[in-house]
Amino acid sequence: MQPDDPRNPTWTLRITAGADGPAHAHARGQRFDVGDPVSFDEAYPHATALEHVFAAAGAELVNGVRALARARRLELDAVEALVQGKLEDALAQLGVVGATGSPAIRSVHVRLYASSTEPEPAVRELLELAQARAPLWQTLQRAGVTLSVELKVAP
Amino acid sequence: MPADKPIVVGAVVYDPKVTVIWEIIRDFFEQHHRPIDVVLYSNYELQVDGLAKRHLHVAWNSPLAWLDTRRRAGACRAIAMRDTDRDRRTHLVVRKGGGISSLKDLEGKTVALGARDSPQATLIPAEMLRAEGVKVKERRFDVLVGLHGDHVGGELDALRSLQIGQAQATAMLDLNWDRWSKDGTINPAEYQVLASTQPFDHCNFTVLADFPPEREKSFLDALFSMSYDDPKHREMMDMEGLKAWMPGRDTGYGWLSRAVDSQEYWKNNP
Repeated sequence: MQPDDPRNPTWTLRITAGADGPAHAHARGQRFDVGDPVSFDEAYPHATALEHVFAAAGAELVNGVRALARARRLELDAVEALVQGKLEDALAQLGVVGATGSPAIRSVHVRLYASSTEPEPAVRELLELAQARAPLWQTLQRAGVTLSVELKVAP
Repeated sequence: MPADKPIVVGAVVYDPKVTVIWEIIRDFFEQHHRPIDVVLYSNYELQVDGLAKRHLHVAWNSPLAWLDTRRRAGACRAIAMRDTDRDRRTHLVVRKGGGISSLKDLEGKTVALGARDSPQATLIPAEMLRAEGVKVKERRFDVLVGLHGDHVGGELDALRSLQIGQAQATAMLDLNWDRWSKDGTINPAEYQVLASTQPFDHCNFTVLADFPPEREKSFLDALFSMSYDDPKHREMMDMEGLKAWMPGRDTGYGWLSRAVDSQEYWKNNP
């Protein structure tokens, strides 16, 4: 086996199933909980695996935009994303008899709110660059997931 | 079969949230040492198949699925139902001051109905109009056919059609009239109930005729021990829309049966 190219490292996480609760994920020195793959129960007390994915897609953009703004010395007060995701066939994930579709992610829509006095095109350029550099976003795009982003900029 | 083997219960998922209700029901039976396994179906046709082929012991059936089970599997029993499944009615709703004050006034007019397999929003009200000799133009909203109107989307689209003037009347379950009048979907100052169907029954737990009586008793003993006064039970009962489980009965499906016959439903929807 070839040693890893240090310029293209491998990420390693350890995930342990809980006895009757969420899985515990360990990455570097960090630990976080991941619940069921999917839940339709509003009162379910853990973030599901699917919600982590949608959250990660949104976080790539808000954190990406913020980091780029800082690097370019652009003024940016706040960035927030509203993420809406859909599966191709949610019932397939539940193992419902007759649900013949795929539980794959069908679409992710992000509405990104930025509070900034910069002109809108400048913020949009940050967003496009953040998208281009986001591993999850690019992977979803390559997989054929329908992706869309709306940008709202207000001072 | 040993008495402690799980009873297999089928249910149709008209909304993913239904799975939450069935998880609570399964846990409830588990706590009462009467384990059940729940099999979820995407539509009633498959569930009736499952019962007829004995993949299931008990099916939570819509009224149309109950008739379909009798048609395809022969003798069967309705062993339990919700209090709210008994004596339901469908209302025909019209705009107030729209010049329609009796069923006869609907002659030749457009009546908005729900999905073609909805007992409450299509089959039974259409049968009432037929029995009264009133010929109307039907404007149907076939939303999620296969769920027998459990998904109220077609019923709601039919109401919208009345509200925007594409129809002169629409059909809706009495419970939906009550709910929508309270939540603002309908303004009761603008709309009124023109006529109501005779009472009919809605869902039931169905078993085939040869389901062992001791297994049935075991299932029903646990089910009937659910109490709305117990906060732990109330959550599920509110979600499922009942205050008490009642014994099943098969006397409330006459109107639907006549509707299915007169509309040749099975011939048109084999």
